[in-house]
Amino acid sequence: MARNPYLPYPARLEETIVENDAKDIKTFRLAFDDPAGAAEFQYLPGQFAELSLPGMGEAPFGIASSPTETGRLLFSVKRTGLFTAELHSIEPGARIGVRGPMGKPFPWDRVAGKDLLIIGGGFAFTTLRSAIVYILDPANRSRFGSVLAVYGARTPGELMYRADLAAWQKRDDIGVHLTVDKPDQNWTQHVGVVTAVLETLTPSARNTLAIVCGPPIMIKFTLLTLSKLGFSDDAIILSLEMRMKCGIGKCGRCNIGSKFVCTDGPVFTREELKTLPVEY
Amino acid sequence: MTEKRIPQTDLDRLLARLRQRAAVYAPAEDGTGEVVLAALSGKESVTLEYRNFRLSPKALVLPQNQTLLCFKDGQAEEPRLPEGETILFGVRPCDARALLALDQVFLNGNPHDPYYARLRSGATVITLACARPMSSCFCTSVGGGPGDGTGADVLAVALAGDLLLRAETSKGEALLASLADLLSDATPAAVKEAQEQVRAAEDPMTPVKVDGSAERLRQAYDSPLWEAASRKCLGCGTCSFLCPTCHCFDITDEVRGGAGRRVRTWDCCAYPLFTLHASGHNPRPTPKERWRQRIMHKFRYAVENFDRLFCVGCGRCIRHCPASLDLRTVLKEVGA
Repeated sequence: MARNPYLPYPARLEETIVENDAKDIKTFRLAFDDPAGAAEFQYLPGQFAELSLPGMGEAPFGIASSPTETGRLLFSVKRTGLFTAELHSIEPGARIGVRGPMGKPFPWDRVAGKDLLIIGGGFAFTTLRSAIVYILDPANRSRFGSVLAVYGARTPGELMYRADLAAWQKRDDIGVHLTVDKPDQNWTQHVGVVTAVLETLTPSARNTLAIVCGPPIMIKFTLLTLSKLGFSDDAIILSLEMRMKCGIGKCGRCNIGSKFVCTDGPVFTREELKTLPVEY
Repeated sequence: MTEKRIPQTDLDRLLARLRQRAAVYAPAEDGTGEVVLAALSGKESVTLEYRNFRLSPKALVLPQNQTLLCFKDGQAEEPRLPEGETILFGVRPCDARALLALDQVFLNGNPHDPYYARLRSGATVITLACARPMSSCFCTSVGGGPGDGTGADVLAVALAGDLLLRAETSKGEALLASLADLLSDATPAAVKEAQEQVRAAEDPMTPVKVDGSAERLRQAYDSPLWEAASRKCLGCGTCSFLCPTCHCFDITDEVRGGAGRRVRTWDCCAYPLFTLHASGHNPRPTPKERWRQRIMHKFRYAVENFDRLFCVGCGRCIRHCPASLDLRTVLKEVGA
């Protein structure tokens, strides 16, 4: 009999990592209680899961780890409401439920053989981290062409995954450009919005797919820039945020037009989004 | 397709027999004189004199509050699923038809919903054809009709003296076979009487044009009429709660100490909180977007996804709207 889709896999919090100076974004490393649960939880970058704390409810979060990081299941969460505040306060060893993986991942079959432009802003970098770790894995790297990543935040202290970013910047098989709105005295990299960096770099749209995750205002201007650079709507891949409950296409909450973000998304091309009402 | 009849004076005997094998729900007056689909204990006096129930029978397959998980010592466990069978006698054709819309959401998706599946598979539906539609009824415009057996296992028609019973599914065939000693074969005259009755019931209903509604609503997405139509909407959710096809739900935790449950509860797209993000952003910020969503979901998105209108023309949302909003008028105004 199929597993009850409402029943989470039992897991425990292994480690909490504070990601930003404001200390309101933390990465949670989880471990499944049961090896069978770990074996069943097969995901690809771009997918999400529902985390739950008994009595505090359940909420959807993008998976920040890559399936190539065996045994490391990561979620980066900004403290925003009741559930996330509780999540931010629990200690290692605490019980946590994981339902998923859910939704469609980034279109990895389409990405194979192509160059990639990855653009992220603020704390929406979680599934992009997953994507980059996945691409850079030695078993995968040769399947993809060149990779260029542009990541912006308000201040240097708001950039997430700083150890990963530093490690990636030392490699020659990925270009990583970081930019901040407000630099501090130690900042030596780009200053300004991601679109300004893109206009300096002028990446080619030829044989390239762009993956864009960030706050709505960043998305809005990035799409204009990508169009100017020659990216077709079908070559631009976005991931939607939407309030969700069931995560399995039944509760109706994340419905936009004829799509359900939880099962048809959260990953959509710009072309697909153009057919939907702008209710996201 | 088996057709049988039973004198209406034997209805209590029939229901008593059914109660031996299942929990039986049938039309009976509640304490206030309203005819409701009541759980029979044997003391109720069952009546066939009613138009339709205020509440649709959807709560019997999708309860208003339903436990999804139990928490004990911080661990989540599956609740025990309800056992046993239910027989719903006297459901109107529109409401039986609506079950197929719910099936589409909860059974035909991947994955299935185990809680809905259990209640639904345990339910046998005996539909009672309508003799007198209400002014808010428009089932004939959305594919149904006062004698429509879609979604029913058995279709019953109340004639002058008899109750005509026609099996609509194999489950219905089996049910009638198990009652054979109470039933006699339907006469051609009874079948004809039933047909005439149904035809007469179709006449008073004013047609609402819904053909091609999906395409027309696509064109009307930006119509200023949505703003005008929704101006009166209180966002009370009565329409959704009474609607036999509305199925959106919330999931919340109820815990005291270390014990409690995760529960799903009917929800409604007319509520501002329905889509409110934790960030404060709301993709459907005003009644205009929310009202449009409800109509679009039923008459466009469901058609695009399932090739099925998520409206059965029961008219509850019209009859019970405290602001007298009428979706028939709105469908006409937006050219749907």
